[in-house]
Amino acid sequence: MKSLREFIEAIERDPEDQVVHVEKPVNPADFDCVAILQHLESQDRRPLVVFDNPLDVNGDPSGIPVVMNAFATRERCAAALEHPRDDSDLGLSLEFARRATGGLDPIVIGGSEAPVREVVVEADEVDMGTLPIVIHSEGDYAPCLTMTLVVRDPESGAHNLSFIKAFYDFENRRRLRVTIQSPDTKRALDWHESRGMDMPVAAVLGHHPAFFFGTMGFTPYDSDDYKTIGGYVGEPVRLVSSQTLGDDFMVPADAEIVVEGVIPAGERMICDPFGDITRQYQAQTLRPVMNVSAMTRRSDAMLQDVFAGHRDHMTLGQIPKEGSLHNNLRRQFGELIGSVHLPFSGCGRLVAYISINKQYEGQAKAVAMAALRESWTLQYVVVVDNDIDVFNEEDVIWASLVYVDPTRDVTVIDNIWTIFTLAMGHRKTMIDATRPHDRLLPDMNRIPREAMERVDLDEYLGGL
Amino acid sequence: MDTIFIATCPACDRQFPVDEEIREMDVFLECPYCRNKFPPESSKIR
Repeated sequence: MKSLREFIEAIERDPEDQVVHVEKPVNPADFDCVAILQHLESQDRRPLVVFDNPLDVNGDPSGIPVVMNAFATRERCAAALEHPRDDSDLGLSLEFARRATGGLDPIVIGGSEAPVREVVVEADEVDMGTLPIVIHSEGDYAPCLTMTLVVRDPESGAHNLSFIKAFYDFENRRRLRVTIQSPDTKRALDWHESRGMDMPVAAVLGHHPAFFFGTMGFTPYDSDDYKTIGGYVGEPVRLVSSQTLGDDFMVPADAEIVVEGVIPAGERMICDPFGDITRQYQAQTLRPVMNVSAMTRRSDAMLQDVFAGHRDHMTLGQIPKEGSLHNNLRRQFGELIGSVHLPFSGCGRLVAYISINKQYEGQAKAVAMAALRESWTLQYVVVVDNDIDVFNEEDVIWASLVYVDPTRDVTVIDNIWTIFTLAMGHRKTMIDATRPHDRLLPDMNRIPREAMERVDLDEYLGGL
Repeated sequence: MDTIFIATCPACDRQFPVDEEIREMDVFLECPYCRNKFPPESSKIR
């Protein structure tokens, strides 16, 4: 069965990737983990990192390794989906989108067979401070769990999983303060709270990366995410009935750690700031809380975490959004659409680079408008010609500098709903960086294609 | 897009962003740096 440990072993065997084990004790709640990752990133290194001997929040050796950077490169994300590493640009995004339309029914197993049930801690015995929870940025409210939350729609019975943030609560060792941004999870909470009902939830703190990618697939609210996830993992997800939330509430049997509990109806507490996806702090506000009823785990469990506000975080939205945006634009514009990329410079959320086979003036703006409508995280869309590689940001910026006349090719949409707190406020911007057909401009310089095909680099450099 | 204000903790003088919507609510802000709790009106607003 696929699991986080199976994935780590596969990456360790992969000569093109790297797993780094940090055996020296670290304190995740005092920035040790993120400082190490930041140092590596400063060297343009993003290995999967296993912190083998972290302290827990209480300051004691936790015995639970922390795993970070599982999603930090597109090539590693491709490996998670068993997709070719050398096709990790748009090809990976389209493969991601393709899998959202499939699915495999999950398998239910008994608690005695479930690895995640090897250790069970319930009720007053629960202490979230025994976990090695990572604090991510200097101004964060508290150490924070960054993986997914399971909710179950009582009407359809479908389970929905989405990434959340669950902050350690220094005032109550059995409580977490929870930031929910997923529309589906918010909808489930609204359903429960409008009826005065507490909402059962379970946090999944470690599984195969393809499992978590499956939670990002764009599927209807009433479809069961466990089935969708099976399509991403490539095998049926094994489930087990929850320990404390009823037999109908299922949790993944091969997870590393599952934390069960309820979100009490209407209860809100102060939560955040958090250094989030746009590399800015989310503002402090009132958020729901989760009262923990049980923590179940493998006997040798690992805790998985996302390096928030860095590439480990950005790919999780970038790859799904590229695939869905490309497919939706293709449905509308057909072969006009070339490629789509949401670059890391825009955190995989804020800006889309789209290439088109432009035939007429104005097509770029039509595509940009459609893109803004399709993806609500976008603040900017830059449209270029098909001879510009949208995965090569230098080329995109070049086209923007050479082909854009700001007086007519930059369009700002005013007073439009936005979700991020940026200096541009409630505005979105479209940039037509295609070569204008109605103005004479010199051609882009090129090496003749014939010469490029004729000259074999190895022949001249001897394989250097 | 959230409208925010920048609160300054009266205990440690450090700043952090706060959702404008809770400025008028009967809640205490919590400084992420020193865990001091204080009402929004006691914050030095930038």
